[in-house]
Amino acid sequence: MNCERAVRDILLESSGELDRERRARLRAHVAGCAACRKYRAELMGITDLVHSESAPPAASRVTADTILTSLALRPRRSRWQRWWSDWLAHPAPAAAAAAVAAFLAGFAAAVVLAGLRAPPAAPGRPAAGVMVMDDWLDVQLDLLNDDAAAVAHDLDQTSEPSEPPAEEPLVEIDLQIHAEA
Amino acid sequence: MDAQERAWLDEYRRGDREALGKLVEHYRRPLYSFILKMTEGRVDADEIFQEVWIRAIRKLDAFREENFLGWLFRIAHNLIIDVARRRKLFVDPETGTHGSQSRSSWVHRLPASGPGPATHAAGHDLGRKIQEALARLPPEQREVFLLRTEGEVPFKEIAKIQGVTLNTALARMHYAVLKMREALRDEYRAFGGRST
Ligand SMILES: [Zn+2]
Repeated sequence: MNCERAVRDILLESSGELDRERRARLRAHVAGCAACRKYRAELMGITDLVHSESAPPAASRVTADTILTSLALRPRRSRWQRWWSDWLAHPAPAAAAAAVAAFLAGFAAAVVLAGLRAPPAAPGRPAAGVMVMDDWLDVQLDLLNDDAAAVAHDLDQTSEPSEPPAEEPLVEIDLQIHAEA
Repeated sequence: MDAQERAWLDEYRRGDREALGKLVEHYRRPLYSFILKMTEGRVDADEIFQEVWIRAIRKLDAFREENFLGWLFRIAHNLIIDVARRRKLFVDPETGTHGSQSRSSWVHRLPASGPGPATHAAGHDLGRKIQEALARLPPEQREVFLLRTEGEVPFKEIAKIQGVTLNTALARMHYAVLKMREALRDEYRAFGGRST
């Protein structure tokens, strides 16, 4: 075992993630390596020191009651959010068709409204109809973006645990412990 | 998750509000402390703490994992990123702007260096020095270090929370330890540590 590998295993040992066989090999390395012995002692010392100073959360006033009250007062998700979540979960052609139809209907309504209400365009500015349509498109895109982010976020939080990453060389760790030893 | 934690969770699922209170108390210290130190007092830690629980309750049916605290930390991690992004709280030190919207660059919107309000509010000397040393760590290293020291979260779980490989999580911890040791050299000696 080299020191780079030993540093990696010292960290995994500290979190209880090192199996018995590798613990034995680490012990053998550390017994003969002053730098790794020092590193292991300092890892424990620094984490203990910081943990001992973990501030009691005196400022925290949240209780189960405040959480449940806040949850009960929270408005339900909007129609758009529910539609978008449903669509992501079951992207049936019918839902897609309904979405396109709704989009086109809204677009047409915006054009008609703009035409009815449009004052003459001032020089150098787009006609009012264009601005109304732009606003409407902005709102739709904002809604879609917000919903996509919210759903991606939800998925983030509920995803099943993935397989642990395959082992690879610990290239990011250079042995500063030796430079200072 | 030990048997008692699992029992509280099951009791709450069956509708016992008091069981939720016990879970909140049980996890308050690691979770609140993590949020406070990650955000350096630039946001209301209690607000985020409450929001973590609200989201956890809403998603409780989907929770099938072993490590409930790790799951709470994952929700907190996502919330801190979202709050930083929505409020455009933190300036990207590389571009001087409020940064892009990509999740991968979230760390740039967290306080990257220098003590924040929480540091100045911190109590006695050692506590203040630890806060200052933490504040100087890059946020992704600070997060790994706090997940280990406050939550005792395993590295495999930390890698999942940060969306990185196990080796990256280990390397971040390694660098955080070296920097914290350097910043707290005197305190560490007084604490009983040997520096040679
Ligand atoms: Zn060694």
